[in-house]
Amino acid sequence: MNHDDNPYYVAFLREKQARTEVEQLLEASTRQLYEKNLLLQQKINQIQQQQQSMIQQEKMALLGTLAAGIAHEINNPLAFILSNVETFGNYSQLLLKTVQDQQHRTTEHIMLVAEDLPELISETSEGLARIEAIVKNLLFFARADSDSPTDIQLAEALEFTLQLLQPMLHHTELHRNFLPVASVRFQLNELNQVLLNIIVNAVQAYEAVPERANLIQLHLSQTEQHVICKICDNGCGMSTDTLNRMFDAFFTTKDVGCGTGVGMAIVLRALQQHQCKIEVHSELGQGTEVAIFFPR
Amino acid sequence: MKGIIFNVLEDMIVQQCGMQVWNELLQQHAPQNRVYISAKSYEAAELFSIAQDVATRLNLPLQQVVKAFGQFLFHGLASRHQDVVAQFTDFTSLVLGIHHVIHTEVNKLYHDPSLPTISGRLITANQIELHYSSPRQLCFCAEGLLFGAAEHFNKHISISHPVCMHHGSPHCVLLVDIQDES
Repeated sequence: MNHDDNPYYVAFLREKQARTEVEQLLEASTRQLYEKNLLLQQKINQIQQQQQSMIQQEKMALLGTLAAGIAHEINNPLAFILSNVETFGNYSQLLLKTVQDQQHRTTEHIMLVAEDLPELISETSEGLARIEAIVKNLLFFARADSDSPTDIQLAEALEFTLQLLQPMLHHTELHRNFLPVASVRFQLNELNQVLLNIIVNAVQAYEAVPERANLIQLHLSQTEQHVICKICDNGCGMSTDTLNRMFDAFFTTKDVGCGTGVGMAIVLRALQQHQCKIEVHSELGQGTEVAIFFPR
Repeated sequence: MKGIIFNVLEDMIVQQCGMQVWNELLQQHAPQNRVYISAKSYEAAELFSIAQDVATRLNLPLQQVVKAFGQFLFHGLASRHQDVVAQFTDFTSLVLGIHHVIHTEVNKLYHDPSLPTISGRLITANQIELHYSSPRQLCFCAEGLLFGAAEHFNKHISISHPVCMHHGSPHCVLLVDIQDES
């Protein structure tokens, strides 16, 4: 019997053709899925790049804040150092002239110089010391050899951060309650960034309540397992919704263009990388307490 | 080995030897109630056993059967994926596009298709050198596929196989000579 006369064979071919067509439909869908997946992956990569760029932008913004503060801090002593140096110059001229002329006013001139000189020198030294301290803080913040965790005294790190933020803290009452605690292991520049972000947030929180005296309380204590650093402010506080989302990347309550919303995401990431925990308690209108638990 | 290869093998055997032969081959060389789905993977050993059996039944060398299957396979695949073949204007561009175009398309459709490594270069306008390597050593199937492709583009070719994995080389060299149209 010819194949074409066999109804079962004809049915077999028909079924086979149907199956081939179904598989082709499936393959077309698979191809579309593959291509969409590829596109999705490209978008994810793009988003990740943008996130990295935003994080970098946040770091640069923080750096900008610091730079402005540091410039201001250096500028003050610099102004009177320059003025004093100019006076030194005048005095030298005067002394030289006096020695050369041997005039009768010699004693009067020397007395004037002798009277003013100690103050000028003391003031200039103080100004230079202030600049030296600022540069030292800056070097502490930007220490290049801090790529791996080192033993850090939290009190010292907090003080450095406070000094860097000095221009922002002029009208702030700072309460320190530092109990003796063990050193913590942390990457230095990351710890600086964590503390800076939290304290800057505290400052911005009480700036939102201008009628209240600004207060930041810093506590250091320890348990058997942890060294605990608490930073409390009496600022505007956060709603439960904000509190729940505060570590989400790109979440911000600030006006458009005023915040990238990655600051606390960076804080969380840095803390998690160092096996630290963070707890935040906040009451709207009352203030916020941020507690960091460093492993011992 | 992807099910689509077994599907085309079934087409060839049913067409040339009848449905009963295919049933017998399956009964002898595949697990009970085996069905081949194009996108699923199956043991390559099943294909080799079936091909060996066919060679024995036809009293032909295995290599010849595998080559004939390769030629049939090209047409089977081309008819199922006409849009892929339509991307090529001639035989040469298809052969040189095996890695970058055809294998890319295959990767879109099938998870882990275990493709051979094939690279080609044009020696002259009428000669292509192909390097083939695969743990399955199906270089004769590759030869058949090339003959199938030539047939598709109405070209006559001859293939020499001076270096072969079956003789201990890490890869095969296939020299494809395209005959001038006259």
